[in-house]
Amino acid sequence: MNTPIQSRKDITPAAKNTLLIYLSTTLAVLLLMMVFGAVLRAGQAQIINLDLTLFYKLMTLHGAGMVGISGLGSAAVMWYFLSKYIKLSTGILIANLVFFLLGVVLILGAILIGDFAAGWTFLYPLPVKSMNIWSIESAATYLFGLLFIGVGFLLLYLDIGLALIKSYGGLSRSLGWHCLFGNSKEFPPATVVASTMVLIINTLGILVGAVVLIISLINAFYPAFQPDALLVKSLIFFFGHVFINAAIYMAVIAVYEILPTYTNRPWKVNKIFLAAWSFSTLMVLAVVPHHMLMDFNVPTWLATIGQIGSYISGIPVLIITVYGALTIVYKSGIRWDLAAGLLFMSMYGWASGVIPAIVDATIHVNTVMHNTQWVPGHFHFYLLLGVLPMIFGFMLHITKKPSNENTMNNSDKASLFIYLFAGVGFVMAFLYSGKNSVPRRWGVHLDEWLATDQVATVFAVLIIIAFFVIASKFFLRLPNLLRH
Amino acid sequence: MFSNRDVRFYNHVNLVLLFIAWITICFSPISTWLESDIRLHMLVQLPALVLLGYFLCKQLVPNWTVNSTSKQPGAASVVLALFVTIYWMIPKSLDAALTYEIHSYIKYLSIPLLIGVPLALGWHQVGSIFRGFVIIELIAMLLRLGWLYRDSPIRLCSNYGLYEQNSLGNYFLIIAITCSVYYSFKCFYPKNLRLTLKTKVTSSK
Ligand code: HEM
Repeated sequence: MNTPIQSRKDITPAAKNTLLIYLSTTLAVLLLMMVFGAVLRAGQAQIINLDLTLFYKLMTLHGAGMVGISGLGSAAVMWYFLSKYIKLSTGILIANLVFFLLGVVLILGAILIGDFAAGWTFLYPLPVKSMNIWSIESAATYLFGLLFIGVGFLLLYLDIGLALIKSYGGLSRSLGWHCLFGNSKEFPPATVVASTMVLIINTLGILVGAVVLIISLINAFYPAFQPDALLVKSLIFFFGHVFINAAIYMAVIAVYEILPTYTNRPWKVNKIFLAAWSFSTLMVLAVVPHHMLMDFNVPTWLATIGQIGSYISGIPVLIITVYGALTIVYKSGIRWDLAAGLLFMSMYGWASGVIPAIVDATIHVNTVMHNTQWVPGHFHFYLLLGVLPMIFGFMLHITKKPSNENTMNNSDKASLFIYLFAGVGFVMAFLYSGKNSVPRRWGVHLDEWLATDQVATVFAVLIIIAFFVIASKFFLRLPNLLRH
Repeated sequence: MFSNRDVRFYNHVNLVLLFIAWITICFSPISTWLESDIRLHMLVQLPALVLLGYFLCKQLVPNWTVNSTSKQPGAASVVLALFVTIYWMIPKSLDAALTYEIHSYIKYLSIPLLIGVPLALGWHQVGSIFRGFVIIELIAMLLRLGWLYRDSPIRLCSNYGLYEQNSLGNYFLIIAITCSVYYSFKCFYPKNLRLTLKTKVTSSK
């Protein structure tokens, strides 16, 4: 019996191998970035003596690396399933990988050799005002690295967009508007709807990113031109916010496609599903002002949009997805294996992580919580326990030989449990510190904060061990798959 | 309908008209007027020169196709057009064209022949991903230039005033946003758009 990826006849062997390389790269980078994350936490906890320049270099690398690699891993999920419905180009899939890797090399060089340490958000004017810790050239190399990654993704989205337009007759139809606003019963598949949404928001996000990156580069080499710092910040956050949101929405396709295969209950697309996705498409773009609540010049109406929008932005998609997953699993007699367990767990991580996010998007809370560790608390919640388990579940599912016995052995159970337990512990430590107003992005912590930091470091090490076990399961299957 | 002779006659008339337009844009009081303001220079004269080259080529070789299934010749000509476009987007090049006569001739020749003509030959030969990429990059470039021209405290072209430069920035932003809205609409309703255009054409007959 073949594994799911081997049994796919509609994509080329080259595409299959490229997808496997996407996933291997994702796991390797994740491991490295997790270790850097643990080093950061150990440095804050004063378990190790971490030089402060190194702290900020690693923080920049961890942020950029984690965001970028979540994008790459989720793109593999989307491509794998979307190519069941529309014809996608293997060449473009490879091109995206090549651009990504080129970007990674530039970013690694800028940070590790060039000492760039301005944070992954490269907020103007920090990259060009380093007090001689790094040079303008390092900053420019970092910005070019991000630009390369953006170019790769843009190509991927162009290919997907054109294929969707060709096959469905326009993005309005692949979002299902003809069913939502008309009487048609030809519902597009869930994967197609989700991919359309991702394509729309991320093309816009990358366009904005490409503008602000070049503007930052112009400023680096022509300092007389000083762009408005708040405008630059808002645009960078628009791009970052949209990119990481898109990663969630690409990865969630794994839940739509894989969970039903375990229970033989199909994922039904109906008008509510379509309405939720269309609504979230708009709202993801409209809620960006929640990054600007503390900017002095943001008018009240815009901040209000940010707050209300945040309450309702992700919620519709979240509810229909979590509810859908529950109804698919409930009393289905599902036989759990590690992949199904991880996918189910991702529903918990996503749904719960959104709660502290929404709390922080409330203007009154934000005046206190802004830039405290509450912020890494909420996003690690849905990234570490939401997006990553979706990607892990996907990679284990497509590489597993089907059998009637979907069972979990002891190492599966232990890794799943430890990942969940340590993950929750780790994010709770961030949230607890945030509640105590511990600032984020500080390399040196007060003595009162150290106990939490130390507990968090232990959890971080446990997460890495569990992750290692999950990842090795994939890597052990890899040689066999690549040989085919 | 027209006979073959009529068609040939009209083709000749079109060619003559295009050449007259070329001369007018480059060497007449109109050209002086077009070059007197950076907005007219960037938004009217340069695009007009591109269009001129484009239509000239379409007129001279209407059914030109490469005798090969490869997309490379098309890609090569579009890339050539892009590089020449980038050259003429650099404010210094505009300054040079206004200051040195020889440089102005280079402008009058290179924009129609090295942007307009290659686009006419190559644009429909390249794949749609390539075209999409160029369009998005063009929109991004207009947004960046708009921002730069609005906010730069220094005159980027020493021949023009700061006020005109800032105002040009606004025009760039407006054009970029209009293009984005147009292409977004086209992606959402590709058929409807063609339909509405068609009905307009037929109803105007
Ligand atoms: C073992 C797992 C992980 C550990 C130990 C870890 C640790 C850390 C630490 C200590 C920080 C700095 C907190 C501060 O500002 O004080 C941080 C920031 C960050 N982490 Fe993680 N992290 C992990 C996993 C992840 C994952 C899975 C993602 C995303 C997919 C991620 C994305 C980020 C981002 C975007 C930042 C912000 C960097 C900045 O402020 O510039 N991390 N992480």
